[in-house]
Amino acid sequence: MAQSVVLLLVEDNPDDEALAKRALKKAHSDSEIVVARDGQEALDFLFGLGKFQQRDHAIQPQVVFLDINLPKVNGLEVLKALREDERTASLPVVILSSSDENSDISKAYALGANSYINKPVNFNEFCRQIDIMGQYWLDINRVVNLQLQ
Amino acid sequence: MKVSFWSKLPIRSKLLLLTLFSSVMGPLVIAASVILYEASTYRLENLQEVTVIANIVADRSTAALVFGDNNQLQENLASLQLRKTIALACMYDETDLVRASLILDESLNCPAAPVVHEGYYAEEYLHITQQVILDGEPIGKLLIQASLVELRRHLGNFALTALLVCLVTIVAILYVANVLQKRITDPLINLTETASRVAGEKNYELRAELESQDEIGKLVETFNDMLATIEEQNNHILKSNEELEKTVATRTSELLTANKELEAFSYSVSHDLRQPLRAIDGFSEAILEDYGDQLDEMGLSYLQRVRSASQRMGALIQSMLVLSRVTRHVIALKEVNLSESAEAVRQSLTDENPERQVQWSIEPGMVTKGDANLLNIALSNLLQNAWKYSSKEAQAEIRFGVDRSAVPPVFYVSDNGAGFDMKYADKLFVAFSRLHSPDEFEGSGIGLATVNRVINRHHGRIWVESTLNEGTTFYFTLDAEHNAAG
Repeated sequence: MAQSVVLLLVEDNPDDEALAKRALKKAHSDSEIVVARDGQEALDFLFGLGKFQQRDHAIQPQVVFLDINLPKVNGLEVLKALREDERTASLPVVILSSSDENSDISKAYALGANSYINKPVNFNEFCRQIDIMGQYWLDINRVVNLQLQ
Repeated sequence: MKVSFWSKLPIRSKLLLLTLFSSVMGPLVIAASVILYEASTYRLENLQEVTVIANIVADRSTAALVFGDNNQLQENLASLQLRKTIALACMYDETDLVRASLILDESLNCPAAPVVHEGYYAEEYLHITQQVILDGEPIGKLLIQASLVELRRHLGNFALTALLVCLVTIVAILYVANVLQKRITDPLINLTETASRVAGEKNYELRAELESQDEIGKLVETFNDMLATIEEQNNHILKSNEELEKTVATRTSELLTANKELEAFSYSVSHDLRQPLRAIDGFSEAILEDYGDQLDEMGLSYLQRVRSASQRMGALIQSMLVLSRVTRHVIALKEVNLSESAEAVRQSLTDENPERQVQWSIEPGMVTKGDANLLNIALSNLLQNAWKYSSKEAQAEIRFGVDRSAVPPVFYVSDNGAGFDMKYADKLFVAFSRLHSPDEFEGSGIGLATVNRVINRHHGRIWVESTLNEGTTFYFTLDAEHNAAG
């Protein structure tokens, strides 16, 4: 599997996935993007389980873009599992959601989300947000490097 | 003090005192009047008797006086000893010289020169001084003093008897009264106890015992009737309360279900409806970017229309969400500075459209009690409307103020913009109804419905005055009962 992954996108909808990838590519053409289609797949990837058994899970992405409404294990459950495991406790997680319900936002922050984005309908606006997000989380923000410790 | 003592006494004691007073007063008055009558009668009789005796002795003594037979005179006086009441008897001759005397009471003496008197009482004695007459000529005087000791003894005995009779009467009356008054007081005490128990236990099934057919009996009957009515009404109230609680519980659970459904609906609207829109907009943009050079002008314009339609629908969904949130939002009342909120809206509108020249007038210090979030939504909508509909004016004016002389105070937001025909005013606050085509002015048709709902949730009222091409003024009040602009 890719060893130089910098961004994990957890998104079940292929349209949203394609648009997010397009937006990310526009802003950060060189970034490695891994896509998980549901919550379980995301957890498998991060903890090196299931079909990701061969992956060196010491290499973690710089940021996870996580949708809430996911099949099997939903986004908030994924977030909870990440925060409960010391290997991923400090992993930056940005919630990318269609919902701007207060209840969803407060639940996400309570479970330890680092940021919360309400995906806009306007694609140009979405691109602008992804650009800002990418700049911040991939270029500016610093994460714990497990590999060197 | 005395009144309160009397009022504190139980009825039983009051009745007893009353009976005692009236029953003792009767014998006492009778005894007193009998004693008085006896005393005066005795005195009269005594006087007559002593007068008669004096007459007899005087008659018998004429010869002895004439002949100076003092022994005979003494004898005559001695015969008076038989009358125990006689204390002193003195016989005088015509020169008021004592010729004979009978002194039975050692403390008495024959007075010198007695004055003739047919009888008077003084110093415990009856005094009689009579002339002794012979052939119409006074030849001497006879003085007799009779003691009243006998009368005292007699009256004393009588009074004692009367007192005894009184005491016996009192005891007898007390006994009888006690028995009789129990018949009066017992039902009253029973009634009082029942009333206290009813009040204490709140048990309206209790009844007072009916013991007589008099006024108290009627009182008991009325009391029982009242209790029956109260019991019936109480049961009725309890029953309807129970039903009401059941209804409230049912309604509450129905409402909760409805609210949950509404929430689920809103959630799905925000989540599921917007996702395809994002795809439509995003892929249209992708086509424009990647294949734009292969499309002619018409194709490009169609794709632009697809994009703007999807964005409009996105805005509509957003407005619907706001409307549904305004409905679901739990109101939190606090002081809200509407002037500051309006200032913030003005700032953001000006920032978004710096090229527009608008004359703003926001009255400072408009503070009211309300939900800050909801009032912000309402105010934003109204000011955005004013901003939007005055956009075609060269000298646009937007005013926000309050008429504090009205109760409750009336807030207003006015513009000098497009305005509308007042015959469509009733359509203004209905969701999705618009008075302008999107060509003229963009809009979801939900903004004013949202404002209306915010005002309703503050128990206020909103209305509008408008003239076509001259401008529109929205008026609103907030919570007429509890709020005042300050």
